[in-house]
Amino acid sequence: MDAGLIAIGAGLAIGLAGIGTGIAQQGTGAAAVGATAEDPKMFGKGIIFMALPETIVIFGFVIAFLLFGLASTAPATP
Amino acid sequence: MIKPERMSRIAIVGPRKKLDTVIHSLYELNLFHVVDFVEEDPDVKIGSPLEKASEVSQKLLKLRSIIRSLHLEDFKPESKVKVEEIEKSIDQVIVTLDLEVSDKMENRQTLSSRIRELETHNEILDEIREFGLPLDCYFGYDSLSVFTGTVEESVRDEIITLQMPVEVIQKPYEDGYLVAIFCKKQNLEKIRDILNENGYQEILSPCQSGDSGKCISSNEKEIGKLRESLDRADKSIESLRKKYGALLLAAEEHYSIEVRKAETPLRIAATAHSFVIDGWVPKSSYEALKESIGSNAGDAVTIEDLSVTREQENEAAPVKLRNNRLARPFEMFVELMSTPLYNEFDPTFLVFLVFPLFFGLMIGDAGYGFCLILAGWVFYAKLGRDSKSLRTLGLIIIAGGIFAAFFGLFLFGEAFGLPFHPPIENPAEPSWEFLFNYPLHPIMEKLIDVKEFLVISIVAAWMHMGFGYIIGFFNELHHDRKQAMMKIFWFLILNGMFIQMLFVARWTVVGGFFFDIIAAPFESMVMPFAGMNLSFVAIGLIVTGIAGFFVVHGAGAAMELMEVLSLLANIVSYTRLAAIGVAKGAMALAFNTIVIDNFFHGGNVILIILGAVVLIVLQLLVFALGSLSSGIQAIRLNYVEFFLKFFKGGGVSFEPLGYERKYSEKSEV
Repeated sequence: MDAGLIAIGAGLAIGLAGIGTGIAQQGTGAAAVGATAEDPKMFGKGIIFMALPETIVIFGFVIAFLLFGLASTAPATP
Repeated sequence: MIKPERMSRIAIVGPRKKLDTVIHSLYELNLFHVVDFVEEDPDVKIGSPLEKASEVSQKLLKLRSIIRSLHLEDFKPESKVKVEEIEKSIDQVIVTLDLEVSDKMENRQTLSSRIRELETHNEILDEIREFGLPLDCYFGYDSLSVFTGTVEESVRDEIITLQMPVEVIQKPYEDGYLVAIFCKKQNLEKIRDILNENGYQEILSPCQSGDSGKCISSNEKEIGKLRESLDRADKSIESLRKKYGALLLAAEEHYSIEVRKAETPLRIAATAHSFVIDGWVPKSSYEALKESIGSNAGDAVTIEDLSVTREQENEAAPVKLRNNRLARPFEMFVELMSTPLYNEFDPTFLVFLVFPLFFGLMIGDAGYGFCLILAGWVFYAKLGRDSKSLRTLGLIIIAGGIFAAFFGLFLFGEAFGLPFHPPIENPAEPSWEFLFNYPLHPIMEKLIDVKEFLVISIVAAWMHMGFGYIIGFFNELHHDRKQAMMKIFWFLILNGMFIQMLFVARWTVVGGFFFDIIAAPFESMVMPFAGMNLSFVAIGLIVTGIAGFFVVHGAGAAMELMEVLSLLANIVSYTRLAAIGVAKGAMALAFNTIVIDNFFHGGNVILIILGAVVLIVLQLLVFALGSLSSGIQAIRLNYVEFFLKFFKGGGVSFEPLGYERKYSEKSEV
């Protein structure tokens, strides 16, 4: 397949995954900061909930990377 | 190291007159965790504070008010003050200072408020001077009203259209106008309405006669004199701070400790003539405590080991983590999550092993590594002088920095994002070769061997979480056999997934290495069966694990089934090690290339100096961002992926009676 298209796909994979993570963290992050302000002992739990959606962007990274591997073997656009 | 320190529950019983001595020795020992007494029996009540309590609290109250008036909160005394000295002199000092400080502060207050008042006067006079009229023109009329002040919009035209005898003086001033209006008293209301509509603010002259210029200068003279007195007052307050600061802070500390001691009886049981203190002491220190109290309080006080059962101990004992000196800073990370339960495995040592390793792998740069070591030292030795948590943070940063430098020197071969040697694939890339020839070549190119880096992350996931399940198994073994079995099945599934991933990645160097060790023996076992490859082993392990869920939980295992996918997500989650390492490396490389290509190649000295400044700023940015995100991600992998496999938390920390003296010291008896 066209290397350029693959590169765009890789960019979309990580970019959209990043947006997804951002949307998810917006809620958990605000709640975690609130909970920690009320009781500093909540910090650990807060970090866990905060960090859960991060996995999404890691998925995005892995897919983008695998796609990029494809791109290096594909013919470049003339 | 592995489990928290064993505790004994003890009771200290004695006559009431010995209570003071016993509490005193417990505070000195710093070994005894009190269990708060709850009143149930009408004959046994909560104790009442020691006699000295109210007297000491009074002193403390006065001391704190003096300390606040003198603003001693940020005073740094040069030396500690002996307790004997405090007790000898403090009463006299309190009596003297109580009067002196309040007098001086009051005096200072009066002076500064008078200065403020005169300064406002001058501002007003300065504004009125604009009109050029003597001050007595504004006052003392029988039939005229005078308005002086500021308005937002011009009012002159509006007032003139009223067609009445009026004199309007108007000058532009700041955003609006300054006005002086002289009108007949019967027209006062109409003029006021117009002014109010335009945001009128009245200015009243404090002097009612003479020239405004003279008035201002006489005010200024007075302000000058007042400022001199204010300086003198400040100096005398400063001299009080210097003279008594150390003593006051030390006394405040000493009497806070005394008040805490005096109020300890509120936490214990007492009858009319005796007392009982209930609490926990580390098993290893029990004899020392018994001996020390025995020698201080005599035979009248008995100490009894209550010999609680192991179950009661597990349920109620406070948790004192015990780790060696190297691992101890990492207790902070565990405590931040939650204090482990008493009978639970303390993960501090594993965090100590894993955190710096992950952190170092993500940074993976000799330059940043050495900078981190330096930064950690600054935290430890300079900023952390008064703060234990900053010192701890400093030690953690140093540990991470050592690993980062190690990986930078021996694995990735780069410093500040610049490789020691240009990669073979791209010999034109800038490198440190222009400055020196580093003897070692990198084992891995961070930005080229990304696949190897990803496989390393997966191997880290397997080892780390595998440990998690093994610890979980031992945690649950004496507690809940079913849960312990579950950990084994999860361990099987983890291995199945790992073997399948190795099978896919066996053509990489790291993947091939682990494939040969872990998976190849299985492969030779299944190969004889026609058409089977290693995937069948992997699937077999996963299916066995899932079947195990149903054996243990029956139909309820369907819920666990969902979790299998999240285990896969957990494994993939470790690829953040590679992701952050690569992203940070790429960012540094990009900055370096931009600066080197645009600033350094022309040979223009000014451009080179400018380029150096830009480069330093950009490098600082990469350093700060990289260290922060690596730190957060490294601890997250511990908290989310690792701890959740076994850690319960929610224990009660061991908080013995005791104190820490910063400003005062007790001479050895």
